[in-house]
Amino acid sequence: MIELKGVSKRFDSFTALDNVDLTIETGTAFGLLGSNGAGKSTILRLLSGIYRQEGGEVLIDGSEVYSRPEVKERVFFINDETIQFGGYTLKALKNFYKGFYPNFSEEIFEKLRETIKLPLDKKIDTFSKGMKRQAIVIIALACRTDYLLLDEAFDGLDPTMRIIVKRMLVDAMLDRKLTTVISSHNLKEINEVCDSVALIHHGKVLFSRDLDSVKGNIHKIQAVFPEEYTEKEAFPELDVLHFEKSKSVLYLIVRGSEEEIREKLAGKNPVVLDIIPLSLEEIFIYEMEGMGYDVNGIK
Amino acid sequence: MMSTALSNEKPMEKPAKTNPFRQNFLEQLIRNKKITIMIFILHLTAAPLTFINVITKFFNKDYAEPDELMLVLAVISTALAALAGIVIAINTFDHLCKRSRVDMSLSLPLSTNQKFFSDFLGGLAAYLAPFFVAEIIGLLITGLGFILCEGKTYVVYKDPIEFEFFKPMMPYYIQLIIGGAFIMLMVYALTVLVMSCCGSMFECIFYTAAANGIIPAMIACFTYLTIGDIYGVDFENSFIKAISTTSPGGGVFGLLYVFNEFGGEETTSEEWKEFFLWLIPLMLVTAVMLAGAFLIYRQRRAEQVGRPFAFRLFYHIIAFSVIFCLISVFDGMSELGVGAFITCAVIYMIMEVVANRGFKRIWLTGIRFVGMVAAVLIISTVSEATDGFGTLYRVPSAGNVSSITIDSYRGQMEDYPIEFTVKSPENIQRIIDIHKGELERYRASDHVYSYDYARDYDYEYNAQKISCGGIKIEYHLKTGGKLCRTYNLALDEYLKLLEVERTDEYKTVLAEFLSERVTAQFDNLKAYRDMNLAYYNSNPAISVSKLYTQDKDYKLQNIPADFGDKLAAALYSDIMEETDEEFYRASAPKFHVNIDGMEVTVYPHYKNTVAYLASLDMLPETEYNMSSLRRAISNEEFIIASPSDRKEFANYTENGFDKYSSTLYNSRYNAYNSQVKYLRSYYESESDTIAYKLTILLENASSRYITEESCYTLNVSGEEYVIPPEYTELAEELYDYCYTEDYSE
Repeated sequence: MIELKGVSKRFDSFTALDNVDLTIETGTAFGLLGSNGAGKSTILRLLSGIYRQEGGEVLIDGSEVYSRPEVKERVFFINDETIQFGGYTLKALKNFYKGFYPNFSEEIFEKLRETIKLPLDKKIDTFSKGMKRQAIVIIALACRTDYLLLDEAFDGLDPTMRIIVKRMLVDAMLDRKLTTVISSHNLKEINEVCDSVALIHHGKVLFSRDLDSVKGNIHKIQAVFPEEYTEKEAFPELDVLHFEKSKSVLYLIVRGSEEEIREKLAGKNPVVLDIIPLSLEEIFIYEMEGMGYDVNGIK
Repeated sequence: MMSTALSNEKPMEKPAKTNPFRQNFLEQLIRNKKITIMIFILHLTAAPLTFINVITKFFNKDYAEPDELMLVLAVISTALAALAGIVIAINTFDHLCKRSRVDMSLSLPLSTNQKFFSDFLGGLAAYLAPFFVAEIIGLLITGLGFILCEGKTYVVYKDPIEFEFFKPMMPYYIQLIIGGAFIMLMVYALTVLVMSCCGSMFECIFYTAAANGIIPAMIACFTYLTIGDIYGVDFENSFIKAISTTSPGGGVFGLLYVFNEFGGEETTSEEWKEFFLWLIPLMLVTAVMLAGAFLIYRQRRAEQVGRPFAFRLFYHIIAFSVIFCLISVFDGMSELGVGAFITCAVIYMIMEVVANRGFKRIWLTGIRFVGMVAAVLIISTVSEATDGFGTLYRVPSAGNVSSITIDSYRGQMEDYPIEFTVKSPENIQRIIDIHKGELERYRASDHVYSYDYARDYDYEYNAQKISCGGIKIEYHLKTGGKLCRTYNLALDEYLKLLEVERTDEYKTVLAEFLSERVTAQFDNLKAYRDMNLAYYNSNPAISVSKLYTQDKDYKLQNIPADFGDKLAAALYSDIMEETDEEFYRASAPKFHVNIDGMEVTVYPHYKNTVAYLASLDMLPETEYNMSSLRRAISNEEFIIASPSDRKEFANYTENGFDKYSSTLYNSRYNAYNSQVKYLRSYYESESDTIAYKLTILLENASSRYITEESCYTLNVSGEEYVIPPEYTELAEELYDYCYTEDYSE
């Protein structure tokens, strides 16, 4: 289990993480969502022992990570770049990591490599961006660590390879209870792979829940009321994230379960009331908007 | 969806045992392998290729010294190979300055300590392994040279020459390997230290170069600013010692300095001692650099990569050093004014703008600059006020001194300035007293000993600096440290030093030095001439001479084979048996035994030596050769100075004094503005009379004479003799024959 307890991380005067509490259960696929600079990559680097926190605790199965080889050998971190592997051949890179990770499996490596047909003896520099990403993913999986941290892991992959890599991850999770933490801007991918997500904003965790409860806790409402409402303050009983009015139709984004929302709006005698579930992308956008984040700046 | 290899598969492999430290070490070797190969090739073109060249030349019957071109190539390739250590360090620790390397390097299952030391050792192995392999090859070639060439004779232009290269070279080569390895280690450690402090590639490269230059520059400038003008303090010695152990470039200088100090002589334990006295501090400084690098590495954070500095104090130290050096240089050039400060300010501003990547908090830059300049000026002022922080008057107590070496001392055997070491408590105390006396004299003289060239023509000023010659005192402290001072001793201190000469400790050193020299010179002469008989059997090998008498020349065949040993034994006995009276009234007309160019002084009271030379009929005639004397007079080889002249001359030369005379090394001819009293004969009829009177003076003049009475002195071809008071009348007569040559215009 991964636990962040009151973790703070500053870069000079900039606070990247501010008293963050986060728990990631073993065997889950956990998605980190957030705008640029929210602190997603910082969390991953803290978990892989690259960064040292200024406050709080970063624990993996109850042990601190930083400068602890016995903990770090159970974690593999893939960042969003591949330039660092350029000078290696796939074989050399495999041999490099094999010496560090005691559970490294040649068998898995070979089978995965065969699946995606990567050359062993060519410099990784000569690979396409997608091939580079595949190369490091198969090495990461062959290392058979308990925790796999992926920062924008699916960048550069074509749709087919995206599916193959996802499948690899899912297989590993099913096979040996691999815990995967994925940070991505691509909400579709998080939606497809993860079972829990956390939304990070300005170094704080806005929420951390399983995906179903996230989806079930925010809704889009299309409604027509006998009275005319021009602002969201007219609905104090609801947690309204977004308010829009087009002629007589109101469009509201509201936090809460469908039943709860229906119950609270019943008193206003809606003429029309449709409650529509939101996609994860919409949830992300509206949650961020609720935090005052400029929607136009989101990828 | 496609199924992947992982589905429904259980890995069969058991966890393997890993050693991340070893793995990372090996990884660094692999990453640096191209540079390693390049370094190996460079080292092969140095010593191994040079030795092969020597062997090849021997077999081609060529003059068996390496080609100059080979040596130049060896120096260049060694320098390049050594500098490659910077490239290896940057490549190995690139996760400290390249963002793209941070995640990959620091996410590995290694602790900070494991990461640092496995990287350090891996890079170091990649750097030093080719050096050691190349030098092992060099040693094997040396062994081959021993077997094939050493000790064998070959003929160059009919001259048989015994090949001797590898044996004398061997100790130096071993020292070069050991010293070279540690200098390379320092290059590497210093680069790692700089990298620990910096966060970007530009800063890493620039400040590595800067640190290599600024360390010796700072030491030189600090030493100069604080003790450069302190009387007696061996500025150069302090400067060289400090520089040679604190930076790689200085280390190279230090190693060459050690070689130079002993160059051409057999390697002795003394030489090895000197080598280790250089090496051990160098190793300690390297260890400090490594420790510093490690401590900073532990403290720095991954996110600091990409910034100019991870440890900003490092930048401030370098910047301060630059300003310190600039101000010192301007001060040394007597140009410390507004222009100098503006120059310093501009340079500091450029450094700040580069380091801050722009004009950030410019007011802070200004404050720091003012603070730095103030600090330099305070150091300079305090140093001046405290005579180099007390350096001037520092005299160790006898209890802390294990021995004292006196260097450049021309005592009894003034032909050979010797270095001698005293260990007896009495002599240690004597020299400490001399040192203290000299400092007292300096204190009383109101510090006029700092030489002021602007007052070169100020006679009154110069008169206060009269001295009896310089000595270098080197204290060897029980703590292992050294303290060096160089003084021009005043007469009283010089006379005290003569007391040291009268001790058995000094006599033994001198007797051994001289007898060894005579034996070695004679043995060398025999070996050399026997081999080259055709060329040398017509020339005299040995001659014995005395002023203006008939010299005796001897061919080698005419003197016994044990001449060197017997003469050495006789000299040894004479020095050991010399009485105080003989010593303090050493007569002038001494003999000079010339052994193939080496002159040995034999005083008339050296009974054993005189007897031995007489037994071989080698003593020159006792009668003066009048025609030689007359010729010498007409050639103006004699100068007579009256006591009143001496006072006058004292204004012009550092070596003149009233009560006592030893040999003057600077002839009166060279004295500035002096009026020189040459002895000459105006009329032919007078020449015999003058020559006769002169023989009496020559016979009775003394090389060393101590009296309170004023005496005439006689200068013969640059050598100064005292005419004892009983011959003053005769000296006055001859003085009247002198004419004055005025050099004052």
